Amino acid sequence: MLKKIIQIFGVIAKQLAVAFFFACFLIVIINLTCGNKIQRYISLINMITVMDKTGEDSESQEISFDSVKKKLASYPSWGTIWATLNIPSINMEAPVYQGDTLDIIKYGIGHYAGSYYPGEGSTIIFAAHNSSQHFMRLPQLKIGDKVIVYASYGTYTYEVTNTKIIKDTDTDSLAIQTDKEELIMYTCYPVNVVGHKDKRYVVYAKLVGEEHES
Amino acid sequence: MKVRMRMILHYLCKFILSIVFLLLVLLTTLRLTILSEKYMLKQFEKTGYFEKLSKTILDEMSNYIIQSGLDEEVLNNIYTTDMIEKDMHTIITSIYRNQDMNIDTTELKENLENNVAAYLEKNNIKVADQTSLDRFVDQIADVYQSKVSLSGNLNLVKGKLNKVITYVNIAVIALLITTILLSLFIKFYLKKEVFAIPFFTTAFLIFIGCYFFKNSININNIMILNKEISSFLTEILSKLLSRLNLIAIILMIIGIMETVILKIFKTKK
Repeated sequence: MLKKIIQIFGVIAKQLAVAFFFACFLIVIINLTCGNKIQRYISLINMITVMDKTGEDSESQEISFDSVKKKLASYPSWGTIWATLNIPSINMEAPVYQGDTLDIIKYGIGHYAGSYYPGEGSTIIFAAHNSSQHFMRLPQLKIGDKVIVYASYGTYTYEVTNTKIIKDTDTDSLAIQTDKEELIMYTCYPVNVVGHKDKRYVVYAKLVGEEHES
Repeated sequence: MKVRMRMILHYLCKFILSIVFLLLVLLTTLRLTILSEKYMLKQFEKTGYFEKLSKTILDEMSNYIIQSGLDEEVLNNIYTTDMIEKDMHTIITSIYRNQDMNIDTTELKENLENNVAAYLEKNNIKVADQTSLDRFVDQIADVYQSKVSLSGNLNLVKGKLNKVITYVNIAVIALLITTILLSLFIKFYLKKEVFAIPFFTTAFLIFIGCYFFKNSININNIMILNKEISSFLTEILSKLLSRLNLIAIILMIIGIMETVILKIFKTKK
């Protein structure tokens, strides 16, 4: 009986060894023929990974500024707070987030990622909802009113130079310029109408003062 | 010489049978899971996809509420989880059967219009521009349609999925015929046991493949289209890997049983 059991085990072990050899042989063949392709696909799949940091819990992010090059040395991550916007004349203060998607501007002011940052000497674009905590009172701003951006790398003061009502399709009015620093803030308009709003209220402000963090 | 040739032929057949088995197991598993309309609909239900999607739709719609000057209460009960489920059924069916995809948002629009009218009346608000309100309703309906249909991305796989299913069906039939022919050849011409080695090989390959897949791909971090569909895919992939591992274990057991039974049977003879 024991002999028979040992014999059966022997056969199974032999079969397992052959199967293992077959498996290894097949793996070697696959690796030699399409190993590179498989590796490439795996890298691609692993690249389809998005960190979702947007939301009320987004932590404020420290970013540094290269004052020689007049450029940020490190950029904020998508959906994180990197500054605070303060407009004393309309008593508004809100966090500025990186990005201006609807998901982001639900929580605060959205910074259009394709625009520049305070101190870089070009156009900075901020967008927000016309809600009471954000840009509802933007149409009350007058020329000469101060707008302050408190970034982790410095404080930038702007002065309102112009206001405009545009169509939501008018992107020319929000064009990015690199020859002067200008802060553009916009929100949906008219504020007191219910339903879809196809106009935008735009405020333009020029840089009048800057203080860099040492 | 003849014995040696038979031996080489025997192992060659077993090697081919192992590959055929592996393909058969993989394709059948795919056909019964990802490529099965019923399975996918069941999984959508099991993973709570409709409830998750319902919350996301409401979240997305509330983005438009802030700018509209209305209150979030206008979104109350404008759609239900059952409505999403029904629409998802329509979409999945149209993808798997290559039919036209139509999501009817009339009911949602009607509910929203009623809620808005009630809100305006309650707060004594007069609408100066009805077009703005109509566009708002259309916008909310678009959010629903876009979220349920995954922004039309499912259209990309619509025509292709149907073809893939046909090819897989043909391949499974061809592999089954090959398996039968090879098994008969091994059994009656070479007079050897048939399944043990191919089963063991397939099981080894599945174990190694699953281990490699789990360790080289970060399944939990995959982000495709949106959070809901990503977590759904993550769950489906995990289930698929567990199922394959289970199949590998079963194949191992069957292989061992075949050897044991044949040995006992041979000794009795």
